[in-house]
Amino acid sequence: MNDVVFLNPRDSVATTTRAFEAGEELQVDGRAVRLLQAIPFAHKVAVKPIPQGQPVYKYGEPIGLATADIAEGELVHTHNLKSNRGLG
Amino acid sequence: MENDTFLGYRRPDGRVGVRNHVAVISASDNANFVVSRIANLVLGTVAVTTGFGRGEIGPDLEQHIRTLSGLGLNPNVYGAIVVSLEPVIAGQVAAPIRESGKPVEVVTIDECGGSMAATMAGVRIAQRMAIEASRMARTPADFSCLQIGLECGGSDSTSGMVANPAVGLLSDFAVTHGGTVVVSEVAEWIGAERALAAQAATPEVGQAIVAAVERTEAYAKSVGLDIASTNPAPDNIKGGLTTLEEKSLGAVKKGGTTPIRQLTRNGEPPSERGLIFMDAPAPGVENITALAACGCQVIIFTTGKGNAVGCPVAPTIKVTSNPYTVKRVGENLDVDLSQAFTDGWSLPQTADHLYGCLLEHLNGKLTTAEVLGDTVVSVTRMGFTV
Repeated sequence: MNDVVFLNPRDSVATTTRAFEAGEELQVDGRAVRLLQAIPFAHKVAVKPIPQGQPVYKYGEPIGLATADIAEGELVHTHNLKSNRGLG
Repeated sequence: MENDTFLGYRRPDGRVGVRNHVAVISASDNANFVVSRIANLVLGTVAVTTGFGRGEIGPDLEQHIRTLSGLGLNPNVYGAIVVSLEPVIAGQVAAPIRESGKPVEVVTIDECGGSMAATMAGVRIAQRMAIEASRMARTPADFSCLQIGLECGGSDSTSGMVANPAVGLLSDFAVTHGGTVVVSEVAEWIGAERALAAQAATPEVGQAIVAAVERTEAYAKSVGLDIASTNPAPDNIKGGLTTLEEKSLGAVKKGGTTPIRQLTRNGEPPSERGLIFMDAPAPGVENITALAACGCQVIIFTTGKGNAVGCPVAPTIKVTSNPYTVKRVGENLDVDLSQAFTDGWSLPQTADHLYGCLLEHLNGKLTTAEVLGDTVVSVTRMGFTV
């Protein structure tokens, strides 16, 4: 299996197919992405810089907004991504 | 995926079951203990117990009766014994089952003269019905007789990567071979509704799906609820899912790519064949109840972090693609698709394996939830009891 599942050319994240250490290089859609931190199994890594307040894309669709500037190679999860739907 | 033939039980209404249960059904919560006793004593029966049933009004009463009679009408049921405190509610649940031509009997605690007397009466009926049911043989049927329900519970990131897309390939196969596939869990369409509307067979179906999503989101806002505080749930987040939109986009992969023909109400049998969306809530027990009540003979239940529940009436096949979950809670799983991660299985290869497992379960192989009796029913409620 590939290092990551990368679903759509528009996506700003890819999902890991095993656990990776900081400094490892992933192949994403024919391009190398160097990891700035460890990424656990089945978690998201940014494959391009994502500015704070901008949508994060997976499956070619927005999955929420970045709550901080995210660099390529960083873990994307609850600490820097928030849902934009169903908010009371 | 080639052969679409399985062996099932023909019912008087022409539908085909993949199990041959005598269902012992509580028409209201005050008869659950009688139902449990009857089902514990008689081989070949399943207990369908319920919450509520007294003092329900309007849409709640209608949904309660539609769901419980729907479970009796499910093609996996040979015949039913409906139990309640008094005869009115039991009669309402039994009537549609009787109309389908199946054997059905009503037992009430009031008329029998107590809960032990009702247990005795029910056991005698169940014994006779289970022996009659055991005379039936399985005969060949094809996927045009099959209605598959889909559920994901305890999702994680792997659900949207492998398990749900593999189910999606299976859904496409089933629909192109004349079968019906039902997708529900409206809260998990939030964020995916644009893609779903585009997949709808008609603009009306697309608009109905978007409206169902808007109703769910508006309800959450009206009670000051932030859906993000409950969905994704903590186990979803631990498994790598961050937002509801992400969970939804992974969840709807289960339905595959064929046009969405209809949006149905909770527990309502579809009038169209093909890919159907149903307006039922996401929590596992409510959803598998609604899927079985609308006529699904089998439920494919994908899970990331693991989930033990099954429906008493429809075999609930637990599928995961997470290799850690296989090691951790294998006793509650039926199909292991983790080879996609560990052995490089392609998605079509993974879907083929799932298909082979589905055929085995259709033909009678028991699921882990069936063997352990880890089965439960919950009818969705909308309002207050008065």
